[in-house]
Amino acid sequence: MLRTLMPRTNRGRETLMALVFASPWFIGMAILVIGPFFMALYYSFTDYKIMGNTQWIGLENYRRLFDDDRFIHSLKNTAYFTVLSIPLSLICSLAAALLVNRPFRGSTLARTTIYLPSLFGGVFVAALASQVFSGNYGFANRLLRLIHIQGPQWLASPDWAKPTFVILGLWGIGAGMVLFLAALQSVPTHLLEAAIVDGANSLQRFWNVTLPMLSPAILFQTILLLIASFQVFTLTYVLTSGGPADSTLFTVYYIYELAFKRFDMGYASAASWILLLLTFATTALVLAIGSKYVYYEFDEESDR
Amino acid sequence: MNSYWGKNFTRRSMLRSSGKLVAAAGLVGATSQVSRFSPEARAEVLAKAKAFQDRPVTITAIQPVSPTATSDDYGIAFQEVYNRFMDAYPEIGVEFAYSPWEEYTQSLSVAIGGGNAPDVATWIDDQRIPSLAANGFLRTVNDLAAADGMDLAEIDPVALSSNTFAGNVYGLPYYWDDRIFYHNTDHFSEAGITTPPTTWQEAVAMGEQLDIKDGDSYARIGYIPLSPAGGPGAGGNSYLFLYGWQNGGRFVSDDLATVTVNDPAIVEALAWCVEVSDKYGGAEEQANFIAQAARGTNPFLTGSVSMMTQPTGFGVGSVDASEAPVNWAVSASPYNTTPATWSGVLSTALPVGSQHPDEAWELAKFMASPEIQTYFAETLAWIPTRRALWETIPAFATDPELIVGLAEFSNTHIRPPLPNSQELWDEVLRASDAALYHQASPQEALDKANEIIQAGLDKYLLNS
Repeated sequence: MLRTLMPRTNRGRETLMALVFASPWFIGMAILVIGPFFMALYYSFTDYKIMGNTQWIGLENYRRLFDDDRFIHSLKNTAYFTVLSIPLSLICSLAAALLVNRPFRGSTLARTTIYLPSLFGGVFVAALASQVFSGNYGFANRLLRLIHIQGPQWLASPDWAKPTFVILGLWGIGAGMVLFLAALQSVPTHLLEAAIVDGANSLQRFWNVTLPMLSPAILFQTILLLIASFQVFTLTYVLTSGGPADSTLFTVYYIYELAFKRFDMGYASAASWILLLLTFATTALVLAIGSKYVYYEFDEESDR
Repeated sequence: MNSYWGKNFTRRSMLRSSGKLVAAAGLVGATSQVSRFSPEARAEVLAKAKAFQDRPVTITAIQPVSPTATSDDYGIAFQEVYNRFMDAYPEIGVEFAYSPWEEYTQSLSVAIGGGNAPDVATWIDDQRIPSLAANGFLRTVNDLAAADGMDLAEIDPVALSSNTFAGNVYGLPYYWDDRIFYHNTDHFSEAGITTPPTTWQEAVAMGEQLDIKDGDSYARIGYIPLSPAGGPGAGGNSYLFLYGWQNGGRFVSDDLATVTVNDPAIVEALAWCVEVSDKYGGAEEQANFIAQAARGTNPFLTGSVSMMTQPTGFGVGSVDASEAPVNWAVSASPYNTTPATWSGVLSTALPVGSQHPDEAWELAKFMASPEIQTYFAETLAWIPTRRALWETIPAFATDPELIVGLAEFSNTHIRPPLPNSQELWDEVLRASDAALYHQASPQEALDKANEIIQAGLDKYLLNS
């Protein structure tokens, strides 16, 4: 019986086996991601509150969102964080990759040291940050005092709390560094050699050869960072609960408050879907813009 | 009313002489560093709990404390209560499910909504009960009490009203506190101050006498009424609710249908809090002061702040148990137009969908019983919601902190039990922060809060 169900070609059998082995992921994806994804879409059109009857209210939740100052404020905070943190993370991770790309004594240790922090979870980073950025008593301001600079109040200041979060985002540059390292290793040496023959200095070689060859990795990393920035939550949850004075009220944290403090699940679902659509639209925009500037060495269209 | 207990009667000296130490609790969880339970006593409680395994019926209690060999006293005290319950009910076992306090509402609501409700919520406060009740997460208990012959009139009506929503009672309160005024008696002696303040104006003036400046910043702050939420602020456990009531304000109308957090008296109270805060450099500078002078802990414990509002039990539970305890005394909170304080209430509530509702009710009833409230009072210095017990507990007649705290219950308020009680709390705190950080004027901040809370309340009233 089983034998009759097996595909007759090798390729067919391989495909079947691949699907069988991948099936746990498919099942998990269906139950834990796809299911909730569409359930949240349905609930966003209802007054779902976990308990009691769920009533269809059409677009009412979406209409409320546009009148909700705090939701708009949370979107602005998220945009601020995204716009600042992505370029900074890209620059720092690329700089780290360039620094440790060439073999030197201790380069492996340097790579490991830069990568290691990205393995620690957000809660660990938050706990550490509460000590480092704790007013004048914190490590950051002590360091600044050594060079006669009076540091800000960091997490206690509505003006500085978001920039502090941006700085904390640099904790994970190790992952980006690994990506850029791999991309740097694949920059064709003949192009760099040709540039040297043409008399290009190191800055010109980086700008005209290395950077274009890294552009696919930069685009990929930008999209990863973009999605992560839209989902920033842990640091707010552990460190500030959205404060001081709503300065770190990011959208996912606001959604959490709506869902689990106020039980307004339908409304929270609508907010989640708006965030998802914004993430999707922004990613599509970045891809559209990026495709004009990204250089693919083996792109068939480019080769023509 | 404004009882004053001088240096000769400080609680610490009394404790030393009596050789007893009890741990007390603010609702936010003051942690005792000196345990009332010896290692042997802890081991005994935990061993006894193990011996009760494999009962015919086992009920699950969700709580933000856990009993271990090194846990705080609350976890051990709760396990001892469960042990006594299991002694009294041989057919029923009790096991606990831990949830951190910050995630308690989330854990409980998700478990109930997911069809995996714990049988009983044994540590739940008055801020959460109305909101959980309004959203259908809790069972009523007044009908169960009536059927069981339990007289709810034996429980203080104010404490009980905090759990009452739409005419039904949703939790059996077993403990409550109120806010009183703590001051450092050494600082008072240094400054030649002999009695604590009775009004806001006196508190601010005495605070200035007690301040110690170090260049442009402060080495010691005498008094700040209100700090931003979410940290060990110089303002202690006070919140705008306290000052609103002390200025004659009302947060909600009597029929609980109209929100009035922008009542002129409350706006005025917030403006006063901001004015005093600004005198000390504003909220940001105070955060720095806390970080520097108090190293992230409560600044009263390090002698960095001379006067502070805290729940009854703070003195013996936190100040005396701190690494370098300060000498302190207590009095009623200073006020502006109206003597007032406010209470937090802890209760046992019954989640909807419990697997063992009858056994869960027995535990809820047991925890509110005179026996257990007396045990909590003697062990943790917790104040019973059964007022009749106050006269039977010796420490309540001799302990200065408790005497002031008990007297102040005549002026106490509870947070209005609105269906959006969590929203009321969050928005009032948010408005306070916005004003303290000068993101909005007190009037603007409270107008905005009023609008949001009223909208939430209207939504509920419309649907009900």
